[in-house]
Amino acid sequence: MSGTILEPGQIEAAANIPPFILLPTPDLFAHRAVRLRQLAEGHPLGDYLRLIARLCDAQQRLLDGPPQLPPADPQALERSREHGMPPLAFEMPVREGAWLGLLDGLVDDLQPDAVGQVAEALASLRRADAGQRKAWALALLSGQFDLLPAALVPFLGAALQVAFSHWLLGLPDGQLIEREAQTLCPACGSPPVAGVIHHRGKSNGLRYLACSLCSCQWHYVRVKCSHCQESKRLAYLSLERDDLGAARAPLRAEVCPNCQGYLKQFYREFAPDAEPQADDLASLALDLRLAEEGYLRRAPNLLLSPGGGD
Amino acid sequence: MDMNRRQFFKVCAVGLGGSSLAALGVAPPTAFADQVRHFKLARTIETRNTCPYCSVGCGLIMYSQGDAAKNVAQNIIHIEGDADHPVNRGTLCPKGAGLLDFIHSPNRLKHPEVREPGSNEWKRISWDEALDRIARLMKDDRDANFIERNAAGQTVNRWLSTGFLAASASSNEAGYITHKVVRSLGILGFDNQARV
Repeated sequence: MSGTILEPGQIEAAANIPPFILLPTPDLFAHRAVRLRQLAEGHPLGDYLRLIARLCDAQQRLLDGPPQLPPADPQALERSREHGMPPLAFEMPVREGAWLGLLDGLVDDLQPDAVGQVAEALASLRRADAGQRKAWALALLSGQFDLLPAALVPFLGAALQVAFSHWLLGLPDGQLIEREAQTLCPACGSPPVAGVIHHRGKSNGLRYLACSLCSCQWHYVRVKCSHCQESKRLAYLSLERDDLGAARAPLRAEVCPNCQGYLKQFYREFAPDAEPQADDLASLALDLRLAEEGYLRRAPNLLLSPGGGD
Repeated sequence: MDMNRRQFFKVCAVGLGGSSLAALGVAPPTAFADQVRHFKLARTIETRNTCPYCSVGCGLIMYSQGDAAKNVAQNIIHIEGDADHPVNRGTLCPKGAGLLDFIHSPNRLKHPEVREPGSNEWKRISWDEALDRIARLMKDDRDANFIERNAAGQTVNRWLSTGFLAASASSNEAGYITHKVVRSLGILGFDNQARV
C-alpha cells in the first residue's frame, strides 16, 4: 500500500469520503460457490465446503429466480427510519414469514442429489410447519445455535440469506444511514461474520465488516474491537506459516484484551479472492486454535452450527 | 429487541463434534483437531500513530511484532498510511512512505551527544549530563544578556541572545508547555519548524 505510485486523479479521489456501505453484487452466491470450490481443494473440510458450495448454487438460482417475495414494506421502512432502526431489522420480516417459500424452493433444489444425513435434514425441514421454522430462524439469527438441530442450520441460514440479500438489493436509495461505530449491520441488524481490509480504489486500506445475513459490508474504523469498541492493545493473531511472515498473513484474528473476543479479518492485499463467508468456513482451524488460548468467537456464520455449546 | 441483543453476546465456540459438520456426515478426519492443537500462532500488533515529519500530521498504522507484556522487544515490521485518517486517507508522501527505513536506520541518533566548542568530534554523554549542561549554558547566557528594562525605563524582560526551535511532531499539549517554558524565560526567537 505504501509502495503504490499515484496516477493523475487519484489524489482527488483519495480526498473524497469513502463509501460507508458496499452492497453485494447480484451474483454474490455464485461468487461464493466458486470460492468455496477453490478452497475445498485438498482441504481437510473439503466435503463440507463442497456441500456448502452446492448450497450456494441453489441460493443463486433462487435469487435469480426472481424469488416470489414482496419487496420490503414501505411503511415498515418508514417506521424503522423514525425509530433509528436498521431498515430490514430482521425480527419482523422473519415473523411475517414471506421467506418461507424460499426455504421450500431451496429444499426442492437440493433434494434430487441429496443422500444420507443431508437428505434426512431436508426431509425434516419439509415436515416442519411454519411456526416451527420461524422459531428456528429466530433462534438462529439471535445466535442461539443450541435451540435448533445442527443439521438444519446451513439450510435455514441459506434461505434467510437469500431473502435478506433480495430485500437489500431492492432497497430504495437513501435507506441506509451511517451511525457512529456500528457493531451491527446497518441494513438488517445482524452481527458481522468477519472483517475485510480492502486493497483497491477508494476503499484501499479500509476495514469493512461483512454482514452474516444480508452480505452487505459496512465501514468500521480499523484497530477497534468490533464488539466492545476497545481500541487499545489489540493484537492480530494468525497461524504461523513457513513461507509467509506474519506481516503478509492473509487472515488474522483481531483479538481484544478487553472483552477477550476476536473477529477474523481478511487482508485482500494478500488474498485478493477472499470472500468473508467462504473463507471463514475454510479457516476453522484458526478458531479451534484461538479457543485453546481462551479467546471467544462471537461472529456467527449462518451456514455452520459451530457445535461448541456455550 | 434488547433481549435479542443480549443473546448476540453468546459465544459461537467452534467444536467439531456437535457442529453441522458432524450432523451432516461431513466431519473432518479425527486427527484434524489434534493437528490444529500443534499449530503455532504468530502475533502482530497494529497501532495508530502520527507521522513525525511535518505539520500536516498524517495518520499512520504501524505493525509490530513481539509482545511488550511478555518482555519481548517489539520490532516494527510495516508502516502504512491510515485510511481512516481524515487528513491523508491512507496516503503518504515519499518521506512518510520511507518511515520504516528511518526507524531501522543504523545512523539513527539514540542517545545525547555533544560537540564541544573547538572540537570536531561528537562525544556521547548521559541524559543527566546533557540536561545539566544545557541548563548551565542557558543560565549563564541569560544572566549575562537578560534585558530587564529598555532605554525608556519600561520593564521588557527580554532574552535575545538565545533562540528555541521546536519540531513539528509535537502535540498541542507539548506545544503549550514549550511555549510556557520558553516565553517565561523571556526568549523571543522562538519557532516551530513545520518540516523536519
